[in-house]
Amino acid sequence: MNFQEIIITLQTFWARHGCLVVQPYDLEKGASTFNPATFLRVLGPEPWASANVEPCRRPKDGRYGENPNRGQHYYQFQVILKPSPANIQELYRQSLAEIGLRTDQHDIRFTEDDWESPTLGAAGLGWQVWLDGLEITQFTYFQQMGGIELNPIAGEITYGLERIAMFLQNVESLFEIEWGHGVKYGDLFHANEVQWSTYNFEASDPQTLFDAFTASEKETQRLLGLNLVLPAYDYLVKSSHLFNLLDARGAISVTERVGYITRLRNLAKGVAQGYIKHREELGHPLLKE
Amino acid sequence: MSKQDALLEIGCEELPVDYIAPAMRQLRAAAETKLKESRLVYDSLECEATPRRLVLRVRGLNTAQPDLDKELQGPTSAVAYKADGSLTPAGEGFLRKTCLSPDQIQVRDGRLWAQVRETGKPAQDLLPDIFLALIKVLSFPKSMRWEPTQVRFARPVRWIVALLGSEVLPVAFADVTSGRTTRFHPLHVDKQAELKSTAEYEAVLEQGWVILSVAKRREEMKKMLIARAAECGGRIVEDEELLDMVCMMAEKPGVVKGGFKPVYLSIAREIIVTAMREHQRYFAVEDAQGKLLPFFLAVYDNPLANPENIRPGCERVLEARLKDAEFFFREDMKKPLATLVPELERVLWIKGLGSLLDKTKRLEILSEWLAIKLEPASAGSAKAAAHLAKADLITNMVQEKEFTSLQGIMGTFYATAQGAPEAVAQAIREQYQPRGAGDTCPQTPTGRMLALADKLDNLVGCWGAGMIPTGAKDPYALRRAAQGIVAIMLEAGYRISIAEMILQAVKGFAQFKDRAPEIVKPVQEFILGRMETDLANRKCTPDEIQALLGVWTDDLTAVLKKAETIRILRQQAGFSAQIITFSRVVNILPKDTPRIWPPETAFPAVKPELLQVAVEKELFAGAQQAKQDLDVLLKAGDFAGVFQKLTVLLPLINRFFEDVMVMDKDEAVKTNRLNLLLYLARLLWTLADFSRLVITENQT
Repeated sequence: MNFQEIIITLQTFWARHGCLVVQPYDLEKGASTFNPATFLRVLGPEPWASANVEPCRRPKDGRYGENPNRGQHYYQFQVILKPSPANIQELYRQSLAEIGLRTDQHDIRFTEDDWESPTLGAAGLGWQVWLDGLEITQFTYFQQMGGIELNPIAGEITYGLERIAMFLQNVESLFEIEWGHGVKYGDLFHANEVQWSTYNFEASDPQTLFDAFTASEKETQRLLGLNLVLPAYDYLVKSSHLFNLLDARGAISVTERVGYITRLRNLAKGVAQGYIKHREELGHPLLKE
Repeated sequence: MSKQDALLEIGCEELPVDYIAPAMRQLRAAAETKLKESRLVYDSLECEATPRRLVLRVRGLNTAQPDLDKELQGPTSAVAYKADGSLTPAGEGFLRKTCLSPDQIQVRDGRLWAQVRETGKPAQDLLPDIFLALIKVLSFPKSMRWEPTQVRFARPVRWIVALLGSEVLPVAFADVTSGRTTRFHPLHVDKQAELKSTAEYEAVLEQGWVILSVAKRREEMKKMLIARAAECGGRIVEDEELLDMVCMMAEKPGVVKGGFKPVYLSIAREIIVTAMREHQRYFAVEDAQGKLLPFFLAVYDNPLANPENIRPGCERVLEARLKDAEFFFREDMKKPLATLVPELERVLWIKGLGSLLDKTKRLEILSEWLAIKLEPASAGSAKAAAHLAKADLITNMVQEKEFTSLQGIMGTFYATAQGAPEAVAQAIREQYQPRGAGDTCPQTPTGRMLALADKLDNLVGCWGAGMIPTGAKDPYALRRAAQGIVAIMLEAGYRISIAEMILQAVKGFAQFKDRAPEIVKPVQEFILGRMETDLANRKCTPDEIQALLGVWTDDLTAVLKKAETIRILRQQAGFSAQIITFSRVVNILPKDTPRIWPPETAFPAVKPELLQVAVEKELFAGAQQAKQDLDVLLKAGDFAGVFQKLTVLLPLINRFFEDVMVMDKDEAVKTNRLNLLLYLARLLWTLADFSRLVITENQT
């Protein structure tokens, strides 16, 4: 199965199991948890079920296209089920079979992993799912988001698409993955890895990034003050990515790092509280009687 | 009384490996308590577990509580009876409550009493509440919510089996209600099965590809590991802890062998073994000479699969990890440890206690100071080792999460490769030893100096910053540090004042300059607390420990030698009589007389002119002579000699108590005599507080 077929198949599978196939969010982000379909929708009492592919950026993970397993840009497939159904693990196993993984011939193991995102004030318990020892999925029951205890609890399934594709296609490098119609992942993105790694590690201008960070932090706070929680959220996402760029550039010392993370978490808390209030004011329209 | 077996199976999604064994222990302990509280008698309890279930089996459970005879207290006769002897409404009420006839009621001390027998309740009625309580009482390092009732457990509970014999016991927890349906291995086509009774539980699971017994899984796994290792032409690198871990990772384990490129064998053995173990939980394989072979063994949980399908994935993952390790190793080798030292400035050690560079500088001074006192020949290497000690913490390898456990080990490896003297290189690894009770102490003099310095610095730093261990909370492993100091000092037989060592460590922290006494004393007491544990582990009896640590102690090796001396003395005839005499000296002193006297504190002033009786004059002269002799013997560590010198005074002491009235009418004379006795006690206390020793029959 090629890369695009994996995405299409997962979308179809989860659509069949009650998910809205939402789309990737149009901002740079480190993980699909930043998609409002995850971060915002898991807050509050309203049920939610969504599935989406998500392009993610982790500037620090860039390897100039030289590492066969790592890139600064990659794709996740994200599923949110709120509340989490009792058969969520079984559904996940079925989804693997759906994309052509012989679960009867491989070792699928749920290995403890306590997921935490200090910048988002988010935490959850669950597993990394191992496929013959390789981590292919992060499986988490969210407990907290934006510092707020969640109820009902959402289950999050995050597939690492490149790893799964490498496994299914039996290739040794992510750049060898067939995207579709004979075109390879490397044909599409290798140059990106080289150029972005150069930018992230060498060419980015720390001062510009610092200024941008400060500006978007201020903007988040200003918008929160105006009760414009959805635009405020976008500026939080931007701030977070700017922090990641600064971090990759080595522009933030170990001691300062903690301070930046606290600033971001405070923004995330503000947004989460604002969003909960906003949904209350709307009368929780997605809440079924 | 008829008996039945009871079963509780808590079915979960995969539990964290580390949680399972402690949960089994908790389950057993709680079950013992609860069943006892409920007066339910049984033959035996068993706890079992797989990654997806925690199981309690009660064997031979009496189907009911025994009957309970009780005496019920009623109203007073005056209230219970009317003047004509008939019952008042209150009296009738009591009668109804007891279900007895009026003639069965007893009247005693003006009050009504009834002997009643409470029929034991059936176990079937009691067990549901007990089982629910057991589920609720389990605690985990981290727990989660997953369904509307918001109860917490390590991972979601998805089914509960609760049976007494063939009857279902109703238990409701979270959104699950108990039943007789257990679940199979997730890959089994049947998914689940109904249990007719507890008797068939284990056999049904076996059919469903679940090996319930932890011991059996471990046994089978070990057999497979040994067999696969033999196929590779070697044996597994023994690792019981890893075996315990993988045992909790599969319900129906299989073992697959795989290989890696022999070229990776050029990386240090520890790195390869750690890369396999820490993240992947693979076993390493070595040949008969203990040389690593390019193979690994991985445990998997899929009874359907051909292991050949699983192998390539496992190999690829390990290949990637070894490749990473090799990359880190090559990168690290480009930057000698010495050049990393200045960079330690940007790494915080502990909040409020400066950087790792600050720590390095303190360790250089303290290690050298210790070496001058204890191992003069190693002073130079101790300082040099301290300089490099923390540099490996910022190497690529050790900063990588899965390789953090190689701290110190990588330091030694890199230092050796970069041409450091062997004493320096070895000490870097040894600084973290002993890593816990039972671990080996550093074996080189330089290593011991660095290990002592590092641990003292940890203790003093944390104490000064107020990060003192309380109860179960000891985030900086200070107990282990103190225990390590004790172990090293005793093993090497170093004789030094611990207060002096601590004070020297305090001097390293400029910010503690004015607070030395308030840090030295508690840290010293903390270390002595570990000494107490150490003595207990060496089978010293509680009274011996009290006798030894109840007096001034600042020299751990001396304490150990004293303990050995006392143990030998206790075997000797006449010891008890000697101790009884010595104790008289101490016991006559005022109750609140302190027993802890630093040696430099002055002895009590005995005025010779106030000594009136011949024997007390003789005794004082003897005591003064003994004091002089003791000074020499104590320094030499000849504690048997000290005791011998003290026994010389025994006849005088005995005569003193016969001839002299201590509590003289003349206050000055009395005080002087008490001072003489305190003088003697001070001599005794240089060894131990003998009055704490328990005298037993066979010693007299």
